[in-house]
Amino acid sequence: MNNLVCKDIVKKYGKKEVLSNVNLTLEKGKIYGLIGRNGAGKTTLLSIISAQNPATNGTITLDGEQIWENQKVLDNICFSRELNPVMGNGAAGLKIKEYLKIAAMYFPNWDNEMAKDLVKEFELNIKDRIVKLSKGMMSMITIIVAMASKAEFTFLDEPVAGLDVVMREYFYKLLLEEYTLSGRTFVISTHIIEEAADVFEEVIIIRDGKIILKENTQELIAKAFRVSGKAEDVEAVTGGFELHQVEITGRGKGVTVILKDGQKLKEGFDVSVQPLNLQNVFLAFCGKGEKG
Amino acid sequence: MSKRSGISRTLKYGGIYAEKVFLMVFLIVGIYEVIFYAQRGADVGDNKSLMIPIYFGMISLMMLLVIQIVNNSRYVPLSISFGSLRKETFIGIQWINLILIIQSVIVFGVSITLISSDFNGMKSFVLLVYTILLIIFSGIGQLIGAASVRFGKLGAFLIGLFVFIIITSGVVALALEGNFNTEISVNDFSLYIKLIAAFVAVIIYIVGSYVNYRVLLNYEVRA
Amino acid sequence: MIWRKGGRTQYMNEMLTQEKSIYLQISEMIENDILRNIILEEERAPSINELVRLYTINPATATKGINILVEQGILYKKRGIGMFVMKGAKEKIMEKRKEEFYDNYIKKLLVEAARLGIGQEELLTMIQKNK
Repeated sequence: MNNLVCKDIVKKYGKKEVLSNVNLTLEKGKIYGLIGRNGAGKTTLLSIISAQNPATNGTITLDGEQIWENQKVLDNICFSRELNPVMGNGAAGLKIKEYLKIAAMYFPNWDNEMAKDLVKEFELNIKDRIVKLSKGMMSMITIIVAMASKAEFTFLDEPVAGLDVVMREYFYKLLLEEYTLSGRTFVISTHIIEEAADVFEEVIIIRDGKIILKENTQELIAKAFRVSGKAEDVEAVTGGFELHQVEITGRGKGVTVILKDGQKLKEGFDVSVQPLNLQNVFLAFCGKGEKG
Repeated sequence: MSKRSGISRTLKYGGIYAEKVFLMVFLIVGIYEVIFYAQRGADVGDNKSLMIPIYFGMISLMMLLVIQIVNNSRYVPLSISFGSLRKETFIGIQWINLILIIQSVIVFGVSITLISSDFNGMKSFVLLVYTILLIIFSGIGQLIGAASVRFGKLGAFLIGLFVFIIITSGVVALALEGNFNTEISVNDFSLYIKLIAAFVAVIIYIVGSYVNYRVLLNYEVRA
Repeated sequence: MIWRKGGRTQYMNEMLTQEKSIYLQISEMIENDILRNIILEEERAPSINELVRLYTINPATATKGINILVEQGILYKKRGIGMFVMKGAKEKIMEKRKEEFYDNYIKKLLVEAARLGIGQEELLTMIQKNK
């Protein structure tokens, strides 16, 4: 079992196209980060690649086999989505205990010991009803289901929503430990980019329903710089490169560049060159005012 | 291995789900009983056992109608979000209905038999009508459930309202027409009519579940 | 700073910063530990799993950092046991850093000095001040 491939995925609601020409290959055994603004299409994409939503066009295959209505393939995929307090995806009215018991019935590789341990670690009361839980606790349930499912391809949508910083750190450590032990493939969507950046081997940025990049996180960051100084000097250093977040103040200018293959900043000018982090890179591509 | 594991978990969970629903029916019936006794006191006599089938019958019929809509908002998203196929989820719904219908018929039949009066002919007639109504209501319920998925709650409400009007006018029409013929018996109707009635009920069910199936094929799990 | 947790030795010197690629920081941290004699030659260096657990980073990143040191002959792998510091690693690191000293420190110093109008004489005086 190797690759989950999305070919030419299009998703429309009426006339509105929420995903356009998505071509994506998820290689087995990596932790992917999926980042994008609200409404960019993260949840929709995750729903489609787990067959919880049908795509309007395009195919998704796992090792060449289509995933739609394919039990053998779907047994290896788990999309643990955010539990909504109102509908709860049908979990409304259920107690945590019951919800986890049902999950155990449905996921063929379910690890009940792990689920029990995590319930204890998260200090949850299994007799509580899911609708009565806080946002953070619902996230914990989502995490428990995802982890204990032991599915080869596991997707999590905003798993740390509502968790405080201590629990968020715990989640990242939990994720890495499970990954190290099992080598499962994870796709995690998140808004809290910088915290999670070190955990993602590859990052996928989605903007307005299109994938604008998919790269090794560290390599991407190594190519991102903030260049600032006198306008002419900055232009000389970054001549011809794609610029982002251009700021001009008087005679000074600041730009963000994300170098493409083979590009290098010119040396010998008195400019400040600062390395950037993943969040800066994300803002460079998806910040307000950036060209679509 | 996967195919079999798929169905067996659906049947297992479907069974648990159906029993929960069934228990709820009993609970509601129990509440009605308590209210009834509170009002009438000990001065009930023979009519005591008569109310049970009536309450149970009414409530179970309504439940079977309503549960179809609940299925589409509770059972279906849960099943699919946990990785079930849509085909399998559909089978789950039919399995739940099957369990509910059979258990309801048994309970209803038993409760009628316990009525001390001996309208045996009428008893079997009522049982037949009840069974047919159960099937019809599940079928219509699935139509409404499918509508709620496709057109949202408003669409479901409108269709439900439409159905309610038809049923109520039917009941009113019957009430106005004649008096309750306690001598009526199953044998008063020829086999022909009974078969047609059963056939119509099954058709309605099939139509309802087919529409439900089509809607299910494109079901989207939304948070 | 070394402490023992659950029987395992852990090395925790610096936190990761935003300024440089993580894997470069990892390799530099291990180099620093070697220079400071925190890890001696032929002793065991932190494993990938330990690095992952310590810094909450992806194993691929940790591997990259370790691999740099392996390529440069600073660490070597003992099959089934882990990564060990090569004999002569300390000298290698010092050599490497000497070469990079000009780029990493001197160049920037000269640029800043030029910006501030500090001449060579003044610079020399400043350097000699530091005893």
